[in-house]
Amino acid sequence: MPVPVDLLRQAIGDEHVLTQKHDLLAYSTDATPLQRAMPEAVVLAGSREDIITVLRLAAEHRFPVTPRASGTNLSGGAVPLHGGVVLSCARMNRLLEIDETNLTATVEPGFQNALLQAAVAERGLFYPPDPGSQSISTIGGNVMECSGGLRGLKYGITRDYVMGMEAVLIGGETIRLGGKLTKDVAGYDLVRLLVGSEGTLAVLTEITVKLLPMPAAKMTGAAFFADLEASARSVGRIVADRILPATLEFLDRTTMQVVDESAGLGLPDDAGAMLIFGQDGAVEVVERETRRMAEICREEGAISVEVAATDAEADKLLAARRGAIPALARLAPTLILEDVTVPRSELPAVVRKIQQIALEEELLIAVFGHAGDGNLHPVCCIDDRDPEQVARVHRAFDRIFATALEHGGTITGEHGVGMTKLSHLEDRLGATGIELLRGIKRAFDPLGLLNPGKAVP
Amino acid sequence: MSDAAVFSEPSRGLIPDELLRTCISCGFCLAACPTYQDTRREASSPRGRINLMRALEGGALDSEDVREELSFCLGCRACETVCPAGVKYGSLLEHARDAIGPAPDPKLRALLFTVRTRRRTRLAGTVLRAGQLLRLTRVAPTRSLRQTGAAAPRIERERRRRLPEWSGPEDGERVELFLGCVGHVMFSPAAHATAEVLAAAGYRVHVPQAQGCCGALHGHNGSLAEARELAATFIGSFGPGDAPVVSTAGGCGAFMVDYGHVLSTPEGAAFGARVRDVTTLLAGRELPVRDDLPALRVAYQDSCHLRNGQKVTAEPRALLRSLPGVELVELPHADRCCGAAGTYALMRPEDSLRFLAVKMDEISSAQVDVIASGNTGCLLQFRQGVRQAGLGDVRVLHTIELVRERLSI
Repeated sequence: MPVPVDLLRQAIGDEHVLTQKHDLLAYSTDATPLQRAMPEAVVLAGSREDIITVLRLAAEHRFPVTPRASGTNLSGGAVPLHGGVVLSCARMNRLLEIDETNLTATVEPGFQNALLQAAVAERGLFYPPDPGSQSISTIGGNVMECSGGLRGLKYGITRDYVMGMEAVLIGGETIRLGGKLTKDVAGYDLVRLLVGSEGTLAVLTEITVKLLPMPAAKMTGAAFFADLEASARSVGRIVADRILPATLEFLDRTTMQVVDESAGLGLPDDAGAMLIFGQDGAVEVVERETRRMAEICREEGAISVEVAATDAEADKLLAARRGAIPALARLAPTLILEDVTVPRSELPAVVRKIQQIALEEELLIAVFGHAGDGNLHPVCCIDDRDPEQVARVHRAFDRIFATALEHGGTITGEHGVGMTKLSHLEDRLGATGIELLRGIKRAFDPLGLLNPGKAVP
Repeated sequence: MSDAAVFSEPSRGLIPDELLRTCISCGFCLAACPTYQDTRREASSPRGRINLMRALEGGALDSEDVREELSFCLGCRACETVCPAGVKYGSLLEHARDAIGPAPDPKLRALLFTVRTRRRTRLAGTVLRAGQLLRLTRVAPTRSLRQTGAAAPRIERERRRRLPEWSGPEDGERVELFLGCVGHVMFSPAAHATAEVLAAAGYRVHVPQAQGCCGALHGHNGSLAEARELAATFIGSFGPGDAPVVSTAGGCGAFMVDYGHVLSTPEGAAFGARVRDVTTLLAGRELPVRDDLPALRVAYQDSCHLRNGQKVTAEPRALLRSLPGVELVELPHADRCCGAAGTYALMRPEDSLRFLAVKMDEISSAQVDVIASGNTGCLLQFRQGVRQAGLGDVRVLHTIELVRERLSI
């Protein structure tokens, strides 16, 4: 049914209901390549009331709603596949509270991850989830996608930090879930159910996250190897040595080169792989374990190992790593990327197979990722104007997904199912799993109006 | 409209495809973009605008659909500094604005017409000076023009604006001093200070007498053909050789650095490689500084094109810190545009003042004596900001003017 634009305007105000062609076009995409669809209207919500209005009218007039914030999604989650309304929470960007007794922060969904990190750091507190997009992605978006990041191995991911939320259901009813409680077993864990639900079950209006004390010290280093194998061996030995690093990232040669070009790091050009390692915590532990990690890398044949002399140097290195995906755009106009994840022990074997697939399909596939938690980012660098290349990419990813599943892994670790992995979801969950998902979706959204065509086949 | 029509492939040849295709829409630029942070609307972000440019190129949108968002963009290029893909947004904006043509704004048209020749620019200086003497700024047609007029510095007599063709030690390293067009009319003391400071630093300073406008104003405002003509003439007026061309205006400097792309000629690229901001030439040079002057708290505000276009951030700060008695105060967002943005303040005064207000709050709480910056447009903007914020005793100076003040020459 058509979107009742006049009713939206009356309730929300002309300025924040967009229907001009150029605005609709700007909201037809997110950060996912090749996925776009035009909405009929865009609402820039400024309050819970605006969200209630949209979801009430959506149920009454049966139009689809696609929630979004900064639109850094990599699986098409914010693309308004069936038209309707794009509901942006980007204007709801207030930090509502930092509670230093309960160690929580409460924010509106459009508050940026990096701003939260900075605000709590000022009080000696720490919010660990740090997706690559942290400079702009929002807590609302992070929660809906269950974002990961560079600290997953030691600190876990977004779901490990969400304590409570307020959300609006389709129809306009508001629910509060969880709270500032470490223990709470009253009912099914609906907080966890909504984390990673990709905007298909409810729209968030407020989020309470857990904070940790800021570690006293941190150190970051980089080791350069002849090939990925050697770096993978180091990863295995570091963990076997009973070290749980705060950072353990690997980059292949291609990724290293573009990251270096983009950030001007001055990396050695004779290396085939790079391992970024780091630890945080008490000073003496950080020093000892960072030294030990450097030692292990040397023993495994690293060409060179460097430890950042200053925090600024370390931050520069990590920021460059966070920019790895867009930096690869220097090589080709289209990047098709996935984020298969496998048990850490399987990482070397899976990386080898991906490299083999790249050879066989004659594709440039850059590989980097979170070595500590087995989360890989194979990126196909292609030109989408060539349909034959696109076909090869699809074939390559079908094979990569199958490889990950064979090795006890999953089709997506942190980017979400969205539109792009929908057809592979049953391979991971099985028919029964899919039926359960559908049942849950129906319980929240019987009309199928919230972000239709995403996450649930 | 069907989706196919909206998302058709580029075809009109308005904006170079290779520039458009570098952006993969990751969205990192949104965090650095002042207009996105202002509206939180996708179309007023760099990524959003690039999507509009693509639609313009592909024919799904036409000029009038994109004019407002392309005009709302400050062109500050802060997005370029955070873009891992290396998208040349400034260049894209120039091409897109060129594709839709200059805004039908009489103030802009008059300005672009005036600076096209040296004679007109000189004449405009005389007229503006007469206007100032007769206090005609009070009866300017719009409120914003009256405010800008009131904040403008006193325009010097033409004779006094002129610089000697040569100065500095004859055996010193030769540099060519760029004056600028409208900037020189309004801020000629900064040019004099530059020549004097360079001479004191041991440079042999040559001022090419036939130089006119560098073309940046036209290039930034949708008239690339005129910009190219001006740039070619401008390069000619500097003659051959490889002596550094010294710029004191971030906006013009960044445009000249990019002449290779603007003109697509080896001459353009070679000239671009000669362009240096004055502060980079003073790094490591011994200056006869005075230490008998009262202490000053100085806020340095980056000129966006000096920072994001020419990548000059450390040298001006180091230079100011090296002056006895100067305490450099870092503003929380010195890297954020003040809203001057070339002709932006003239064409979109309301938006411009909104960006300025944020800046003035920071300056007000920093409690400084001087605001220093490296671009004439920013100086005019801050003169206005200081007036409106009631910070009457805060002086607004070009970085190099403050240096000149503290030299014993």
